[in-house]
Amino acid sequence: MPGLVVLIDAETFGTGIEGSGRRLRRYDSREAATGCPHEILTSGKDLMSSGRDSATMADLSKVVLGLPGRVVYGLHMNHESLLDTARQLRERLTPGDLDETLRQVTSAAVELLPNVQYSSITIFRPEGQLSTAAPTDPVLLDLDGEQYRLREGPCFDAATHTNQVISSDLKADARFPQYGQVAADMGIHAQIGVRLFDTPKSNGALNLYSTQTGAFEDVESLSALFAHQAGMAIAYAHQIGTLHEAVQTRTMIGQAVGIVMERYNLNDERAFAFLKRLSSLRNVKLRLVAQEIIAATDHEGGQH
Amino acid sequence: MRELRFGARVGGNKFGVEVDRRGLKDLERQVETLSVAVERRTGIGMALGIIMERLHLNDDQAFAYLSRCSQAQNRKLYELALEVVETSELPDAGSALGT
Repeated sequence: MPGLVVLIDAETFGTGIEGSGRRLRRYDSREAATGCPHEILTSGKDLMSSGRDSATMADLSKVVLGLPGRVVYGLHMNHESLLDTARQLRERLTPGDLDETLRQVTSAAVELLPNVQYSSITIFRPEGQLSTAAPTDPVLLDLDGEQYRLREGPCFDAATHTNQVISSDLKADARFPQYGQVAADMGIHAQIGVRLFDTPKSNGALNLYSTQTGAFEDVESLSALFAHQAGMAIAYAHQIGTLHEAVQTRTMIGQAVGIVMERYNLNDERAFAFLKRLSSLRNVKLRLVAQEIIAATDHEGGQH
Repeated sequence: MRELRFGARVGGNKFGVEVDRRGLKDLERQVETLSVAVERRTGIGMALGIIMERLHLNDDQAFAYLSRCSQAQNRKLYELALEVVETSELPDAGSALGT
């Protein structure tokens, strides 16, 4: 009998991706979790053993799905294969930089999800630019490019305005009158587009392609679960990348402040204000001003 | 970082499951470590800048100097750095310029 997996993604990783370390700590805190469904990932078996019958579970999923302001998936399918995929994904998605994480996501999609031959990620920026990241095959640059050009197709929809789009027969799909034919000519007959992350700077969608007509008819929950986990890994990778940059930037700005303090006999506040004035007068980022000062001070050293 | 455990109250029924987040543990730890590093970097950077300018060193040499002082005095690098910024005095060089 099919299990039920209820997966609640309270705002956390959808919107948290842009957050600072502070924000992450905030919603990781017990206070934030109290009374606020944060994330529940369990199997039908667990719910069953806690004495609920399937009617209760159906009600439960309705209640959960009705929670306002949250991205929620009610997943009905064989829970063992779901949890198994979740476990394999967890092992596959190890910490790395953002680009590496995106590559891990698309290659894991091809290996772990049934009938998926190709995978890529579409990035959509508010200015309207669409681009492809981490394609598992160069042919996807053309295929994704056609969807961007025609402004049509699961990949375009999922990146711009829909959470999940599944087409089991692209050529016959009335939603994609132009792209369906283009895809079929290139040997692609079924496709899933599923939103991976939303941030103020960009949206990302995972594209899954199959060469088989009729593929993806029953993988809605699996692809949603996959996207959820991949989205979390990407959010972390993004945040770690931002923090690495911040460490560098702060060191550099600190050094420049220290140099100015020493050179002009100023305290740290005045030295910092001096740099900020330079930055705004010249309309150059503080980081670059700092970089210049450090470069100009680049002592060969050890003249003692 | 403590174990994350979330429960939810839906329709008066409490059901809680421990979220298996082993795969994300490393990431969470990295984020924590980096957040601390970010907060400390301005102070360390300022100390490095002062040392660079005063002793005519480049940034690597200034860092080596500060970490040798930290080892010699058995005190945290960040503590020493804050002291340099506050007092404008360099830590006891002693043999810190070393080799």
